[in-house]
Amino acid sequence: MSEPLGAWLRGVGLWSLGYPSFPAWVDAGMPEDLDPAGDQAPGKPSADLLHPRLRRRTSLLTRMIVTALAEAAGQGGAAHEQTRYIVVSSWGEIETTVDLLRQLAVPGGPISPTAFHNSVHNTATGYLSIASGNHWPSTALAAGPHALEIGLLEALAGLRAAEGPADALLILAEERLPAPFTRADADPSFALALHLARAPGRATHPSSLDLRIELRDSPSASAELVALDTLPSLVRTIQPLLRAIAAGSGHAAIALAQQLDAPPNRAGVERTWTLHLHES
Amino acid sequence: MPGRLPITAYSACNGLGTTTEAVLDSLFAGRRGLVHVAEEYGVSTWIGEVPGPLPALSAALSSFESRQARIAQLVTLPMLDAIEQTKRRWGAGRVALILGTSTAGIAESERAWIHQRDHASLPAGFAIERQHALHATVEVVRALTGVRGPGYVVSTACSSSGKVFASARRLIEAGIVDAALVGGVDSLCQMTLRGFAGLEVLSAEPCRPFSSERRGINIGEGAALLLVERGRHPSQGEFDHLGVELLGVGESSDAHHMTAPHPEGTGARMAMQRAIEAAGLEPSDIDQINVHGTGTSMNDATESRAIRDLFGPERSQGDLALVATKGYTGHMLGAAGATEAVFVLASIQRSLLPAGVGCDPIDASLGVHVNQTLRARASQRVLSNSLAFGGSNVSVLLGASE
Repeated sequence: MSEPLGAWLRGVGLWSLGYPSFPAWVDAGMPEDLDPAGDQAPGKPSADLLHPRLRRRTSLLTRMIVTALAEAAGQGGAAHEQTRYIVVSSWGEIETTVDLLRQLAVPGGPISPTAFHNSVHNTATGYLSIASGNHWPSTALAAGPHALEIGLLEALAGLRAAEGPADALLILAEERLPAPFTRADADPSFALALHLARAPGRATHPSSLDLRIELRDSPSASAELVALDTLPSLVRTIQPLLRAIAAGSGHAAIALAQQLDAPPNRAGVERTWTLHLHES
Repeated sequence: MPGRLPITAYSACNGLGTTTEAVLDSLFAGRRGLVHVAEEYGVSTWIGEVPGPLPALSAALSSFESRQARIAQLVTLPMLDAIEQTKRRWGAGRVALILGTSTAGIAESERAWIHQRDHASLPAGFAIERQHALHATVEVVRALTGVRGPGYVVSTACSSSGKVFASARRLIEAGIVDAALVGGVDSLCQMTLRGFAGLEVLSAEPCRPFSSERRGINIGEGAALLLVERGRHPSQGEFDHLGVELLGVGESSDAHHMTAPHPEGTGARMAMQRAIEAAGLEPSDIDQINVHGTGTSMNDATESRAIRDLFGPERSQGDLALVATKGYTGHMLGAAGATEAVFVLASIQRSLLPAGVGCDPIDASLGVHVNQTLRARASQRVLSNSLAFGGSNVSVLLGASE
C-alpha cells in the first residue's frame, strides 16, 4: 500500500440481547459473552429510526443493526441521509431464511412475499435507505473470518474515493444460527456499528470520539488461529477493538482477522492488516 | 481522475452453455438458453439452467459439495492460465477476489431442512459454513486459483455482481491491490423460484423484456468471472489485454421500496449518471446500454423512464443502442451483473449487437427502442445496468481501449 488507509472513528454503537448500548457493555466490565448474564431478560432493539409501519416487518437482525447504527451516528454526528452504509455479516437474515425453508418444505405451499424480500443480505440497508431518504450507495458483504478486516477495507477505500460521501457507517452483525442449524460455536445475536469519517467531528459534536485509525499492511500480524470445522467468531475478533475504543487513549495495534488453522481444503490469504488506533 | 482498468480475461456459463464459447455463440446466433422448469419446483415457468450434469468437484473441494460450488468450479477452471499470469505480474496477495451471489448454496439448506424434519438430523457431511454460506463460494474459487488478496462476497440481491466492479475499482485505486478477480455465481433453488412466484412476477412463458406482451421474469443460474487490472505495471509497463476496459461504476439507492423500483426511475438514473461522471464522461459519450430489462411491467417502465430522462427522448429511440439479454439467460440474480458485463465485452470486441429475443413487439409506450435483430455496431462506451431489491442499483461502464 502506498500510504496507509485512514479515517476518523467518531462513534460506536453496540446492541446485543444482554447489552443495549456500548456504554452498557463497558459498565458491565466488557464481558466477552454478549448474551444476557444470569437471569437477566433479553432486551429488544428499539430501531426508532424506522417508521412503525416499516419496523413491524423487520427481523431481529435489521432492528439490531438500526439500533446500533443510531447510537454510533448520534455520538459522532453522522447525517443519516448523507452516509454510506456497509453491513458485513456471515449469516445475514438467517432467522427469516430458515422460516422460508420451513415454508418451502411444503410442496406447492405458499411463500410469504414479505419474508422473501426480507431474506436478502441487503435487507437492513434497504430499510435504512428508505427510512432516511438516503440515495448514496450502500452495500452488504460476507467475508467469513475476515469480516472486520473486509468491512474496514470497504469503508476506508470508499471514504478515500472522490465520488462517495464523507461519512460511512460500518456495521458488523449476526443473528445466532437458529434450529436446525444450531451450533455451540456460533456467535450470539449482536450488532456493532462504527461511524468512520474523513474529518473529525468534535467541533460540532462534542461527544465525537475522534480517534484516528489507520490500516497498515502487517504480514506478521499474529491473528488468532481457528481450528478447522470450528466457526470463526466475529464477536471474538471485535473484542480488542471494542476494548481499545473503551480505553479511548494511548495507542493500540489490533490484528483484524482470524486465520483458519492449516486447512487442507481452504487456501489461506497472504495479506493481513493491523488497525492502529490513537488519540487525536 | 481514476484510471481505466483493462480486462485481461473472462469466463461465463449459464443456460446458453457450459463454456464461454458456447454461451457467446448462442448469444450472437439468437438462440435462447431457457427450458421449461421441472415439476419438482411446483411452479410453471421457464428457467435458464446450466445444461448437462455438472462436473464433480476436485477431491480437495469435496466438502464444499453443492450445485453452487460446481458452477463456481466450472466457470473458474478455464480462467486458471490467465489468473496465473496476473498473479505473476502483481503477486498473489495483490489480487482481490470479489464475488456476487444472492442464492449461495441455499439449495443445500432446503434439502437439509427436510432431512432433519424426516430424520431428526442434518444430512451427513452438511456444514452450513461450506454448503450454504455466502462466503463458501469465495473459498472454492480461492482454493482453485490461489488468489491471496482480500476475498469477499457482495450480496445485494440482483445488483450483487455489478457492485463487485465498484468494490474492485475502489480497492485498486486505494492501492490495496493491483488486480481483482470479480464475478458472480448463482444457482437454481426453490427459494428464488417460489419466492418470485409469491411476488407474482414469474412469467409462465419465456420472458419478453420491453415487449408489449411481457408477462414477468424467468429465473436463471450460472456464473461469470472477469479479471480487472491496473492499467500499467511499474516495471513491465503495458501488458496484453482484451482491448476493453472498466471506465467507471455508479451505484445508488432508490430509498423508495423494498421490491418496487422508484416510479420515476430515480435510482437507476443516478447510478448511470454516477458511472458516467466517474469516468469523466458525458451522457452523449455513451453509445450502448445493456438494460436490466427483467420483463416485469414495472422494471421496464421505470428503467425506460430513467434512460429517457438521462439521454433524452431522441437518443432513446435513435442512436443509443439498447440491448436486453435476459431473454437468453433468464434473470441470473446475483450473477446477472457480471454475466451482462461479459455480454457487453463480447459485443464491443465483435462490434455486434445481439438480437433482442422476445422483445418483439416493442412496447411503444416505453419511449425507448430496444435492439431486435443481430446487427453490426462499433460501440465504444457501454453501460450495463443492474437494479435490485432494497432499491440497490448499479451501472457498470465498459469501453473500448483508445
